[in-house]
Amino acid sequence: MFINWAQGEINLKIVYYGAGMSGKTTNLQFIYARTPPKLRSQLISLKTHQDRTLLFDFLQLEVGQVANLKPKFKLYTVPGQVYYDTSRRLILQGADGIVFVVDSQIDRMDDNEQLWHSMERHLVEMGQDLKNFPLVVQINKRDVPNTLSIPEIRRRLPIKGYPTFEAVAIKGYGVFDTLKASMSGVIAAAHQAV
Amino acid sequence: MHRTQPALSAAALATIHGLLGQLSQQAHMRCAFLCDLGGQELASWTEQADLDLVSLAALAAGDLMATMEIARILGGKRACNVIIQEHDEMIILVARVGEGLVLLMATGVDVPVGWSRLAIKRTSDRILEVVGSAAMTPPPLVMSDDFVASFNAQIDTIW
Repeated sequence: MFINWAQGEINLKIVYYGAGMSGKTTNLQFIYARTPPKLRSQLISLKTHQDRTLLFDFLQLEVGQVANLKPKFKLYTVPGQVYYDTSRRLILQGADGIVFVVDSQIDRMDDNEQLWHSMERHLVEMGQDLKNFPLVVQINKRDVPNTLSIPEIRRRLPIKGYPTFEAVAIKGYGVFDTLKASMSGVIAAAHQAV
Repeated sequence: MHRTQPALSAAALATIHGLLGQLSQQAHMRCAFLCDLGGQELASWTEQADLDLVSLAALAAGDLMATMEIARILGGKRACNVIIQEHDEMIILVARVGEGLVLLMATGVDVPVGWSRLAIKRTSDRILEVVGSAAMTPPPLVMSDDFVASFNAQIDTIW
């Protein structure tokens, strides 16, 4: 969080975290496409030749004047492939909130679990209190075959207690519900902090 | 909540803007800006009005963090201080300021790298003096009790 007192801005960072191909970049692409240009920045993507996220995707959103402040949100994705764990830790630095994107497919649950635990480990290393950190869970790809049921996903991942949204990010379902919940959680935490 | 960056007072930001402005007095200076390692832009000077500073800040922070990590993995004991990029049209220096800030400076290719290194070092030291003293203490924030409700109503009107 950075507060620019001179301009009345509060800058907040939200990181979309999750396994490779779970739909993190798709979330940002949909948000970018459906947000008025005057309220968003460019969508920056650092990709490999195989069109996979190499370092991060980045998008800034503004929501206009609220009371006496102008909140600005910087949305980042992390690379999801397992061997990019170092990059994920770097991008998590300074995060005010996280959206954890779960891939609903049965054969991706091991990756989901691995990424969840790496996220927890990084947050603890950064001194964050997991119980009070603004974390929102998006259960994505609800439209594809071979998905686990929501109760089964809840059994496999320790997501109880966090705001959770079902989504089909490629079609935009659940994308803004997730984003707004994350923004609200981050703003509420900022309100408490200052 | 974890603060990624001390909240700078308006006076501190004005001082930092002044320091960046002093850099701009040098010939063939393209831009100079300060952000934090979380990618938040804090202050800038640029001759190019439409420069996308928001994206630049995210990328500069990512660049410096990645370079620091490369050094750490290779066994480096000292954190990265400066990255120098020599392009055909310009030279870019990215310097770490203290523990959590990043200062980027871009010059024309005819500006000696030695001068640029000295300039970015001196500016970094002066910024640290500002950030490290009274600037660490924020003025009282005006986030009213109904701010959260107002914010939620506002985002519902956008999406």
